[in-house]
Amino acid sequence: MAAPLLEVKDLKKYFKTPNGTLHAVDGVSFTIEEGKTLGVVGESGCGKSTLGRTILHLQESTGGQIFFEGQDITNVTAQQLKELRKNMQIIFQDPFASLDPRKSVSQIIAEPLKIYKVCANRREIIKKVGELMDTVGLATRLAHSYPHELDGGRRQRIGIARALALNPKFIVCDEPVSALDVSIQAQVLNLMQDLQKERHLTYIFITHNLAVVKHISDEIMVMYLGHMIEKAPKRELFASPMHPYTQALLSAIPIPDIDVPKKRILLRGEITSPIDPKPGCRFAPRCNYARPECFEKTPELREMRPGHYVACHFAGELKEQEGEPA
Amino acid sequence: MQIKRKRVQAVPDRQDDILSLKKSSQALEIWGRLVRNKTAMVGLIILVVLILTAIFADYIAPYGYDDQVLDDNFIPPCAEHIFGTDNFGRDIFSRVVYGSRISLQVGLISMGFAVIVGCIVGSIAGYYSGVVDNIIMRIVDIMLAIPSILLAISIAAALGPGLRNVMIAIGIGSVPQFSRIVRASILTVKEQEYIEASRATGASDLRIIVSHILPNCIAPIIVQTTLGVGNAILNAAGLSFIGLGVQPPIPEWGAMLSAARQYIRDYWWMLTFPGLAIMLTVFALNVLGDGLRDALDPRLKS
Amino acid sequence: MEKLLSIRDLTIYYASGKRTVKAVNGISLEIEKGKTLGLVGETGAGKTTTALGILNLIPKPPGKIVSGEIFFEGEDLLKKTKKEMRKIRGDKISMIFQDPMTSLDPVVTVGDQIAEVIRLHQTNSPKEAEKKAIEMLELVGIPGERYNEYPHQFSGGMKQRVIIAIALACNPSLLIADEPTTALDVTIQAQILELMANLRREFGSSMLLITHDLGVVAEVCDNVAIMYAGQIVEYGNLRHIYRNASHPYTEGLFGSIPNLNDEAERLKPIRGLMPDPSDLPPGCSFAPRCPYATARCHEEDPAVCEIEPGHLVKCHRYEKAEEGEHGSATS
Repeated sequence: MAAPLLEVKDLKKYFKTPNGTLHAVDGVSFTIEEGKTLGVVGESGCGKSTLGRTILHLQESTGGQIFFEGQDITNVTAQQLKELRKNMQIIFQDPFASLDPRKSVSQIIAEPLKIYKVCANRREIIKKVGELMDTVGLATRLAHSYPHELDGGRRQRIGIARALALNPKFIVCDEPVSALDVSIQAQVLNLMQDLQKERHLTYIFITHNLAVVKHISDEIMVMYLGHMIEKAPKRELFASPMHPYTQALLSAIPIPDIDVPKKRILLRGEITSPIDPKPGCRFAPRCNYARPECFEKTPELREMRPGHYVACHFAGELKEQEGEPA
Repeated sequence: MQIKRKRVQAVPDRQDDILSLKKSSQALEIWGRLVRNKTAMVGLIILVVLILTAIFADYIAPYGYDDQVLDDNFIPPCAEHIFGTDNFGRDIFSRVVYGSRISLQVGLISMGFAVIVGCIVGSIAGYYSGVVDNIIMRIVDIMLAIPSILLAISIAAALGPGLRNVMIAIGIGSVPQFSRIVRASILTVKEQEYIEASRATGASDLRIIVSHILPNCIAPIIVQTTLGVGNAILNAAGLSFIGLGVQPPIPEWGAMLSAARQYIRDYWWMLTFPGLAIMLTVFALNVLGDGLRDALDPRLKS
Repeated sequence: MEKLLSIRDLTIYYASGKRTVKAVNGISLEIEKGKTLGLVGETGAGKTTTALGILNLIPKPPGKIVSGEIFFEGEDLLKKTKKEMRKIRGDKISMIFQDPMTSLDPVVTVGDQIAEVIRLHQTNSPKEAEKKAIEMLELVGIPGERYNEYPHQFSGGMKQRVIIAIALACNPSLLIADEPTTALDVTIQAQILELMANLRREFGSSMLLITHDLGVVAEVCDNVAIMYAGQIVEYGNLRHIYRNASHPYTEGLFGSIPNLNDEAERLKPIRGLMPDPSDLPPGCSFAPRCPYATARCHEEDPAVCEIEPGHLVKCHRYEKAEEGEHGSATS
């Protein structure tokens, strides 16, 4: 088996807020192999975006370790970080907010090339920008357009071209299609899959859209209030989710079809924010199966089946109760 | 990879053409947008005329700026003295023409100074926030607490009279306002995702500030600058008035205004023409500034 | 079935400089009493404009209702005066907006915001309005004690509940919901959809649900209208749309959604982009993106054909079948 491209061990990111310490990412560990896609799902506020940004050092981690190609990159100097960024890139959610409105398409795509001085002269930059635009399916006549003149799908392609400019190995995709209409979303998803195949890219795909994550990922990790509560290969996860939250989440997806039997598990309440969390399962207050011990002891992540990890005290036992109405 | 190379080779020339126009075309584009804005062009033309007047004052002015003909004082505007004469019998038109040299210099240079220093200070405070921000902004607050004219007076008093010192004094006096405005706009802009995106591509702080943040807060800076020029001219007059600015008889619009105050009831022209000159300058800069702000914003391009 | 709302040939344009943005181009639709119609389409399809048109809330200028009729309970809303419309809005027809974060006034307590609607339309007594408002709060699952709290003290899902309470406060006969759950997380979306379904059953309101999510439509609606470039391209009940999607655009929409049940390696997106509504192509507006487009599609605007009873499609492919026999044109 290939060595993992990225390994994250017990990663923590806390924020200080006036009300206490917010545990946005709290002890998350995982590995990704080269050329694979790890999907990260969860509701807003579960720490999935923070996770991506912390790995890329856009935010400094509070604890834990990050390894990239076997090297510890948890603490790096500014110089090392700059080198690192050649290999690790990010695609943002909002294709409007993530593009400087005062820069033309070609300027935006050329920026990384200029920063790293990868091209010897302007001519080469121009050629490379043209190449990148071609790769992501943007007509070169748009080189002098500004982001506001383009639709969401094209804008997102600019974001992708910028991320690809330095030929990275690893890309964090932070909700890259959430702001797009379905027909455009499909175009962008296809593009990302093609690029992955062509360039052997490794993705972390952060989204709240479960259908999209199932489509594009190899493995899926579910997060809840900073904890990773379940991780499994995608088919396994969708076929037999073990954590009560995952079960509820999957049952809540509206399926675009009729005559599908639906047994929806409705959850009580809403996601809170993990400020100064007490020990115990963070999902317990909303869990339909919660027992006293759930409120006392934080469940460990256990491997219930090969590759299928769950953080729930009663993971195995809940299977039988699945059909029970909530 | 191979596929890609082939695709690129298929249209290399066209691509080069399209992309290589980049730099020059952008400047042209901004200029083109500015030209289409009629009010901005009026402002630009007025400003150019004013500057030319200042440069060629020696040829334009019919009299010297301190040619006193005491018998001819208080002549209302007529063919010989189109703006009339003042209490010393000096030709007001000539004095306004010569005055443009001093006033434009004071207005433009002191504001230029204030913009540059204000941007640097404000950027550092806004971008780095935290302790640096606190220290800088408290100093700025202290400076803001002192009326800018008072600040300018104390600086000018310390440096001694003279045109150069007036400009420095007024420039420093205006720095606090600029720092505040720049800092405030930077605080909003730096939270935008494209700043993070730029950081993710490995851009340095300097690059982020200069190439992404400042261009996106240009609007309030331009507005403040154009308004500031008028203030600077008037403040310079204030300094001249108390003997710290340009020394009489060198004409200067603001000084002419204050000198004319006591004659305002009987000899309106003494006050009106230098006043008009200041108004014209500020107006020209304002409309030009507005036009420039719009021209620089690609989102407003139609 | 009794028709509650029936729109005929509604056309709404916006003036934008010298150009005319053709937001809604001659749409016709009907909502029966107690039923839900899903209006599905992508950004810029004219869904929200249609909704605002029903409420007569199109900003004029630049907007202009060029033609059409909107019959609500037998009366043409477009012939109503401003004052009459104000009486209808919030009382007989109410609207739920997409973004719960911005559609509540941040400086008024949530209870007062509900009471305001009730005072406007039903009672003059503040006491009574407050009592009714508390009832409404509890109805949408918020404890009455939270009457005096401000919107920022509520989470997104809770705010949407408050908005639903405001919308239902006067027991409207028509509820227009513009992407009511788009801004919410799935588990919260499930809660809100459930709540809306229960309340509608209780109140017997009809609903026009505007959404881009075919999953939500499948769960909530009785009938579906697919909108593209200001036109309704396909109209039918759930079975017609989900089992026998006939318009190429509808097909394309289904092909674009990753399906949870079967695993396609690649999605089949619709190529190209939505046309600029100020410069619509001649002929069928979907023709430039349509995989089946013929020369005729680019020239001639297709007529609406009924390919099976109640299933309308606006596409040239079905016109021949129309002349022959009904219902034979299943794709």
